[in-house]
Parts: sequence; C-alpha cells; structure tokens
Amino acid sequence: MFYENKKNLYLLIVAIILFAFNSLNIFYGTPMVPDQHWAQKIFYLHVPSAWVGFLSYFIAMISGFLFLSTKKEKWDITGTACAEIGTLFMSLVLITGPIWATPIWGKPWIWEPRLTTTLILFLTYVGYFMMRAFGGNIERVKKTSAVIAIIAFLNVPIIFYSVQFWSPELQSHPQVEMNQQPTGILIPFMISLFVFSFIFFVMLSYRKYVISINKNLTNNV
Amino acid sequence: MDLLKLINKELRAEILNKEIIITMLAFGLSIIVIISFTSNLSKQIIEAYAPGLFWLMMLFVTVLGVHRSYAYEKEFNAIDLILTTPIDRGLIFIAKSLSGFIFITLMQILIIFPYFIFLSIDINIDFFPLILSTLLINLALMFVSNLISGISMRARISEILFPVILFPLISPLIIAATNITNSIINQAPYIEWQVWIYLLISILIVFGLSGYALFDFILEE
Amino acid sequence: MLHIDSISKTFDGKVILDNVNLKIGNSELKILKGKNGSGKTTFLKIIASLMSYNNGKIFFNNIENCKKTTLRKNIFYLGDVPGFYKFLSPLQNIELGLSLRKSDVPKEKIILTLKKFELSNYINKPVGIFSKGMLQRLKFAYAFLLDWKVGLLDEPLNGLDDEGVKLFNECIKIWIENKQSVLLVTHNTDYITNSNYDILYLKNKKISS
Repeated sequence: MFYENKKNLYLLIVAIILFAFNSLNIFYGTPMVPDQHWAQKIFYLHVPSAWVGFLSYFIAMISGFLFLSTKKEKWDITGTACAEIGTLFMSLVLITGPIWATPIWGKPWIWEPRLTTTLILFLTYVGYFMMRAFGGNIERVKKTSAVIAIIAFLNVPIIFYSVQFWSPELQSHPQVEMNQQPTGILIPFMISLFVFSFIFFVMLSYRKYVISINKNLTNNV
Repeated sequence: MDLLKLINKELRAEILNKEIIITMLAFGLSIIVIISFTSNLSKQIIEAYAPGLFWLMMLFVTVLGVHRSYAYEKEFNAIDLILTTPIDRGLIFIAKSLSGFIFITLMQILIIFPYFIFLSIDINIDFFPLILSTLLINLALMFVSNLISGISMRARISEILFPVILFPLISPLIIAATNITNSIINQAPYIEWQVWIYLLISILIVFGLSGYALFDFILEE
Repeated sequence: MLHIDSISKTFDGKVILDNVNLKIGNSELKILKGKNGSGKTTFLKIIASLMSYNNGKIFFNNIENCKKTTLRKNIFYLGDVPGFYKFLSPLQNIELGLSLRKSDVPKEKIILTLKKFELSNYINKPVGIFSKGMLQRLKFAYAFLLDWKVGLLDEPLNGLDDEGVKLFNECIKIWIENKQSVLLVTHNTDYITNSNYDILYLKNKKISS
C-alpha cells in the first residue's frame, strides 16, 4: 500500500494541514480589496490553479520527450498522471475564472487571452484523453499521446498571442503586476502558490502509484 | 531526391484516384450552399464574415482531404512499402504536406468563383498580397493537419480523433488566417496586420519542424 | 553478420521478449517457430527496426548502434500484410520501393522478374484486384529485386499454390548462394526443399534451438 510508506503518509497529512491553513488564511488573513469585495478572494485559488495546470502540462511535455527518446514505461506513467492532474486544475481555472468575472466584468466569459489559452489547451487535452481511451493499440497510443503532449505545450505561446492580437481591447487582465501588489496580498498569494504546488506533487506521486498498480493488475490477470 | 519521389507518388495517387480534390470540391460547394441558406443572403453579414467563412470552409475541407490521403496508406498496409525503405521518415510528412498544399490550392482556384457568385460578394482589391498570404496559410494548414493526421492515422477511430485533436490546435492559425484575409480585403495598411504574418510564420516553423522531427516516432510501431 | 544481443520488449508493461539473443551469419537459412501470439512478428519487426524495443543491442557487421536507415537498407522485412499501393500497378509499386532504396534496377529486369513469377499479364493492372497468392508472388518478386543482406519473411507460404512454393524454394536457393541469409517464420517446414536449415523456437519469451 502507498500509505504504508510513512513518508507518503506524512506528506499527505502535511498537504491536508497546509490546505486547511491556506483556506482559512485566504478568508480571514487577507485584506478586502474595496472595489472587488469577496470576489477578489477567488484570485488566491484561480492563479495558483493555473500555475499548477501549466506546470503539470509542462511536465507532461518533458515526459513526452523522455518517453519518445528512452521508451521507458515510467515516463509514460508520469506523462499520463500529469495530463490528468493538469486537466483537473485547468478545469478549476475554467470554473473559477467565470465566477470571478461575473460580478467584475458583468458577464461570465469575455475572450480574455489567458483564459482562452487555458480553454484551448483544455480542449486539446480532451483529445489527448480520447486518444488514450479509444486509440486502440496501447503501445502506439503511448507514443501518439506523448506527441500530443509535446505539441499542445509548444502551441501555448502561439495560442496566447493569437488571442491577444485577436481582441486587443481585452488586454486588461484581472491581475496587475504581482510585485506591485501590497504585501498584505502578496504574501498570502505566495503561500497559496506554494501550497498548491505542494499538493500537486503529493497528488502526482499518488497518481503515478495508482496508474502503475493498475497496469500490473491488468497484466497479471 | 527522396522528397521528390514521395511527392511524385502522392500526385500519382491523386491522378489515378482523383479522390482528394473531388471530395474537397464537392464538400466545399455544399458548404457554400449551406452558408448561403443560413446567412439568409444578408449582404452585410456575408461581407463581414466572408474571410472567416472561407477559412472555416477550408478547415472542414482540409479535414476530409488530409484524412483521405492517410486512409489509402492504411489500405493493404501500403505505407509499409515506404516504411521498410531506408528513407528519412520526416520526408513523408513534408511530402504529404506539400502535395496536400497543391491539392488545396487547386481546389481553392476552382471554388473561389462559385464562392463569390453564390454569396454575391463584390471584390475589388489588390490580388498579389491576397494570393501570397493565402498560399502561406494553405501551407500552414497542411503542416498542422498532416501532423495530427499522422498521429491519429492508426488509431481505432481516426476519423473522429483527427478533427477532435486538430481543431483546438489549429485555432490560432484560423484566427490568423481570418484576420489576414480580412485586413487585405478591407485594404488595411500592412503595419496593422503584420503581426498576423509573424504569427503565421511562427506556426509554419513550429509545426513544420515538429512534424519533420516527430514523424519518425509517430510512424514507428 | 547480424547479432541480436539480449533484446527485450514489453507491451504495456507485459514482457513479450525477454533477453532474446540471435546470431545470423552469411548464407544461413533459419526457421523460427512458435505459438500464435508468442511474439514472432514483433521480433522480426524489431530486427528490421520498424518497431522500438526496450533493452538490448543490435550489431550489424560488428557495428553497434547502426543507424536505423542502415539497418532498414540491409535487413528486409516482408510482412504478412500486402504492403503495396492498391491503385498502383506491380511495376509502379516495385519501382517506387526500389527508387526509395536507391537501387538501380533496369525496367527490363523488373519485367523479366515479374514474368518469372508469372505476373506478366498483370504488369499494368492495379494491385487492388490481385488475389492473395498473386500478392504473395509479387512480394517475392519485390524481395528478389532488392539487394538486402538479411531477409525476414513472415509467413511467406500463406496462400501460395504448388508452383508458387516451387518458385519460393528457388528464390531461397538463389539467395543463399548469393551470401544472403533468410530468417523465416512458418508453421510448416514440409514445403522447404533446402535441407540445410536450423529451426529455432520462440517459447516463453526466449529463443531456443
């Protein structure tokens, strides 16, 4: 069992405590921004989710490269786990974005470049999972999904700039430059960023474990 | 030159089968008819959306044509004839892209007049930049779609996976194409739309190189 | 000439080939036998560098890590699928394959070979109309015209009539005389007239003689 290894158990406990602390800190430890009121709080979840999502897809791309060059099973497992976790966090971004935008911009979706990039990347990964689910020959699917992970991430700057140029009037981002924020906001934000990254690595190691025992199970039946 | 031999094979296949251009042409014409019905022949709507509609039509047509060009490689496992030879497999990607570029350009020459006539668009512009940019966009369209078609070629439900993976990845190109054509038709100065040309060129480089480099992995069993 | 050194292949974590070794010298005829699904085709495709493998080395002429293109040029894999373009004629198919392998064979020789394999009436017909036996003959004609060193034939006797089998045996004889080696996957050794062959078994993910 995964949690019989004491290290993993401790990491899980630390992650839970950190998450609880982070949530409380966001509610009670951060100042109210006058013109946004409670809506601003979601920014402590939205941005770290996006960060973890992109980090996860970035690791999926690196694993894709490593899988294609070494053909080692572990890189396929890492790539799949990262794709899954990344998609989970990208869904959070796509849910929290409109929740924030509804009171602030007056409508849930305007084609803001970062959110649009997230959406397109999310859709690409829907294709990735369809390939994994319905692709047929599993060895070939591993290679093709590694290739999809690579080109999906290479496409990120292209998507971002194309959406930005497409609707230049939407360049007003919800987030101003982070280093210009007052420390009252900056420090809880950095804490949240750290907590989300920590949770990501805990999730990744657990998910990798689950995928690998799943494989062993199907192969030994 | 291996590349020329491969292109020659693609062209010969098309001359013998006539599948790709005729499929693309017939499908394109029926889309024009549907567009005319759904836009109620409102002259203002059509003139504003003509470039976007044109590239939308080209995207659908590309999906059919490119899918067909990989489907006949699977009949009789014919591609084995090429895969067992000691050629650089990236050249297969380049040859398929260039021949697809020839097919779609021929098809556009045939379809552009019905497009203007059926949708009653008056056009009176400088044709040289329009043709040049259209050729570049055609090539980019072929690079992206051939890479994805190579990925999905041997998957079990390739006809579905191909568009599902392609559409999100190709969306920046469609944005760029629409804006370039729109700007040229509206006779906007080059300085206003040069950014789209840069974007188009970066798409050409990213997808051209990654297709060339990754095709060896994609085609390996 | 060809030395396969402890090749392993897993398929989604399941071991198919486990440290398989094989040496093939000049002018050798080896026959590989094994149950259905024991990984014979996988093994041939790995040697022909059409399929990736997880561990191990392939030496060709004592050179480790040959370029894939060198291996593909010198090791010829003839699969159990047709592997020809349906709409091209036998002549066009063979010419395409030959030109991509950069071997200059005059057209007359191709036509002569197709005659030898009794396909002369079909030289300009599309391959799509061919029967299984005719496709098999066409494959032999193609293999006959190429200049490989090691030939990997996967179930070549499927669908062949008696005359086809005779032609096949003639080919093997000529190849062996030419210092070419053949690794043959087949279940039935009765048809093979050349008596000088080794039989290998692919059993429990390993090769034994």
